[in-house]
Amino acid sequence: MSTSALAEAPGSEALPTPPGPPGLVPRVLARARSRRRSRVDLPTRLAFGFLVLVLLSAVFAPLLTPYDPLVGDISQRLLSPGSPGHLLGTDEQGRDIATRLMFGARLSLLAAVLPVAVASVLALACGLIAGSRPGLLGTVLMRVLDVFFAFPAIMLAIGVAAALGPGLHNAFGALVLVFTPPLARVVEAATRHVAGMEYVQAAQLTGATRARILVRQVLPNVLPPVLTYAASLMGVSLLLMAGLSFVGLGVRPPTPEWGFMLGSMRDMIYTSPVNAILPGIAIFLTAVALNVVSDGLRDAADRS
Amino acid sequence: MTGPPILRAQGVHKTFRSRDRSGRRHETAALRGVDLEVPLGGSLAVVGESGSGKSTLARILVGLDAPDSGTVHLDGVDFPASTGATRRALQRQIQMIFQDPYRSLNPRMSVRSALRFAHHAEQPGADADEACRTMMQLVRLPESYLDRRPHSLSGGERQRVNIARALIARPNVVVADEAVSALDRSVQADILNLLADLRRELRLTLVYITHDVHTVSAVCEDVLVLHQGLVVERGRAATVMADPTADYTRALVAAAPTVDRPLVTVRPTSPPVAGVPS
Amino acid sequence: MTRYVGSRLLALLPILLGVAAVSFSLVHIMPGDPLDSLMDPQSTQAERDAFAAALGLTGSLPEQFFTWLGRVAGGDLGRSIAFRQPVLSMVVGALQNTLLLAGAAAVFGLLVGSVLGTLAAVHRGRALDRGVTGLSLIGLSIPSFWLGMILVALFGVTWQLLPVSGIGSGSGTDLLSHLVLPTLAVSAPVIGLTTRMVRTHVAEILEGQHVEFLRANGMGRARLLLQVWRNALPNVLTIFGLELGNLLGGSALVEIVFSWPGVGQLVYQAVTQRDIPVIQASLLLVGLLYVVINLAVDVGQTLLDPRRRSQVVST
Repeated sequence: MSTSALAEAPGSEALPTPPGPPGLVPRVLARARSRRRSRVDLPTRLAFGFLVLVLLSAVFAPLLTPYDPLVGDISQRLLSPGSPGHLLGTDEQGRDIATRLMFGARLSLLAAVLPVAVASVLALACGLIAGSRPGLLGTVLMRVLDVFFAFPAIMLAIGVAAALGPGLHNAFGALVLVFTPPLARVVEAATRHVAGMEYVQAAQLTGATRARILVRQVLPNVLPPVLTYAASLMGVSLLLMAGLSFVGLGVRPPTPEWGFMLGSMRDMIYTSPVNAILPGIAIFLTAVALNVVSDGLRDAADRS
Repeated sequence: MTGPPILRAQGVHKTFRSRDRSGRRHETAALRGVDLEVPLGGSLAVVGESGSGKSTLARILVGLDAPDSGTVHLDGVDFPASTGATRRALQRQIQMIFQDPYRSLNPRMSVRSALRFAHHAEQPGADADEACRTMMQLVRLPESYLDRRPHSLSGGERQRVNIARALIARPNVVVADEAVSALDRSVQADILNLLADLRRELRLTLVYITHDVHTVSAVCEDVLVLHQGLVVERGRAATVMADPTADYTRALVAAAPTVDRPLVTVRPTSPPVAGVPS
Repeated sequence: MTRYVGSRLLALLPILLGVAAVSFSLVHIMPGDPLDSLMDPQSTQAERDAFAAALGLTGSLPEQFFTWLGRVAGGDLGRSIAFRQPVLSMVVGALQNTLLLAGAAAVFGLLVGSVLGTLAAVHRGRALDRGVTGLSLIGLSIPSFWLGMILVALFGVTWQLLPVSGIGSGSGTDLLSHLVLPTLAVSAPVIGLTTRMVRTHVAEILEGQHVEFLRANGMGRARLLLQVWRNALPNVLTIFGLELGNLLGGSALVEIVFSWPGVGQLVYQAVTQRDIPVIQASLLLVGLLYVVINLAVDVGQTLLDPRRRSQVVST
């Protein structure tokens, strides 16, 4: 479980630096550079294509498979992959694994995106306030968030999800709680950096309100590093959610979800190992694709 | 001096306190009781080395920092003491031109949006657009630059945009904090000429903060010399520069490189040895 | 120096208080009356009152917190609902096993990651670098509990080479043989992350001017790398500490796969039985340990890095 990626939160080095030497570069050159920037490298495009395929198969799952994802045929249980009619075999209740993977992609993709998105919004609110108001309010806000840093991510998620009780909403809530503090730290550092820039002071001199300065001058410069970091958390979010479901704290049966499928077939590892590890391949490949895409986005952002 | 002072600072003190990693306190006195007055339409140069407290003074004059003690009056009003909407309205009357052309323009805003933001009329309308165009003419930039972003502008062009942004708020007083020191010598002269012209055309009151004693007379009538947070000399710029009375001013004037006496005197040493490439 | 460490310890107090508060609040974020979900519906009122008192659920919320805090400070973390024994000894025992696994994985991951990262940095931009970068990406993306399942299938079922369950007799070669597979599974993300960070740091130092100077002065490659490594050491140790801290939680799911009797396994059992005191105590102790490790890393890094050391030691 790559919860350790949380430790990779970018510090000041990932913040927007003022553009380099005088813009004496002819406009032609600048245009050439922007064309190159838009060209993302091959692995990133392949990974993005894979994610689109997963998304499409999740959306159109009912059209792509004749089987019911929830109810299986007990007489057909644990058929090995390649069996007639069941490309990836069947699970311990005789349900088609390919079908459940396609339906399961719905929740797993949502688990990659939604907690990070919600946490980003919360973190932007906290971080912008804390970073632009270095007084008591900001300090208290960040110290409170620091407390949640004091737990390894998965432990915090398990603890909170366990207390709230199993269920999708609670698992999502636990992940939001895990992601908000590191994101808020990035927002706060970026805000602090940008708020110290002279263009923000110039904006203060024009008599603009604090809110207007935050939204128009600070936010546009804070967003890029935050979005880059948030993108890198999507893979972590997918893995954490799979982990929570694996221990039974995510979805409730029989809802298909990749981590839950892996957990429910855990004991089959001794009898039908290939069937048992199949859902993990889906998690793994999607996590790789998410990480490749976020790395590609970061590199593209660094180049520009 | 002529006319009532539009900008007046009295007994301005400022000490910076910091803590190192082990929690020890450090104090640095940046300003130790500075008084100054600038009449309406007047121009005052504040000269000093780095560390003399001149940038701190600039920030206090425009209200970006608060003094520990002392007051700043703008047109007779202690504006840093006001709050809320009153403060914001008063604030527009004093603007600053910043030192670093690379940090003073928002990289994600076009020149037009930067000027509009300062003009405080964000809705597209003839009024704001007209003001933007006028400002571009004032700072001698083509109107087409309005749609450019800072990264495609040179240092000198950026500084012109900075001046435009300061002027579009229609201030009474402009404080230029080392506004040209980050620029090439030749560009410096252009910007200084522009400042001098604008001052005449718009009857601006100017406070010009610099470490460069030679640019003082070109831009300002009066001068004030700052050393370690104290005013060591003040008077008409021409007089002080030609015949400084304080030791510190004399040293400052003598130490500055001039065209007649370049900073580094190249003296030929031993003649190159034949056959050895130099 | 002592003053520096002292000030850091002092700054730790509010965080520790916060950790305690979060652990404490677990019982209170449970939906509905915690007693209803934790107790047998047929229990008598007297039993309920006794249980509420044992959980510290009487009085106002701040009152409850400080009563609970006082008990915790005295070493009483409550009793397990399922096992009917003091939670403290259960969690401490499990924590030792987790530390063993996390420590082994951190050391192994750090070693492999450092070698791979240095190789990639030296061969920057070439095929080897791309291969290593790909490998680190795989390490970061692989669900470690799934990797654990694969290892179980291969080594335990197909080849029957190594034990795949439990901790054995708990000592000697038996312990070691039980430790191998879980360590491999847990260390995958550590290898991924360490490789990345070491590659960045070493590449940065290799491109630095003082290395160019050494190279220009004819320093050999091996000695040069040694020099580079000395510069990278504080960063590497930081990574180690961060990893060790993260693995306190990161090993949880692998522990479940291998039935390793650590905190993860303990919490898993507690989750299935809604044994909140165990979860609470586990979170509290893991949080405390995590905070202490992070502090040790930070202080250690300051003392190892001459630039930062001079700031705190000089005056």
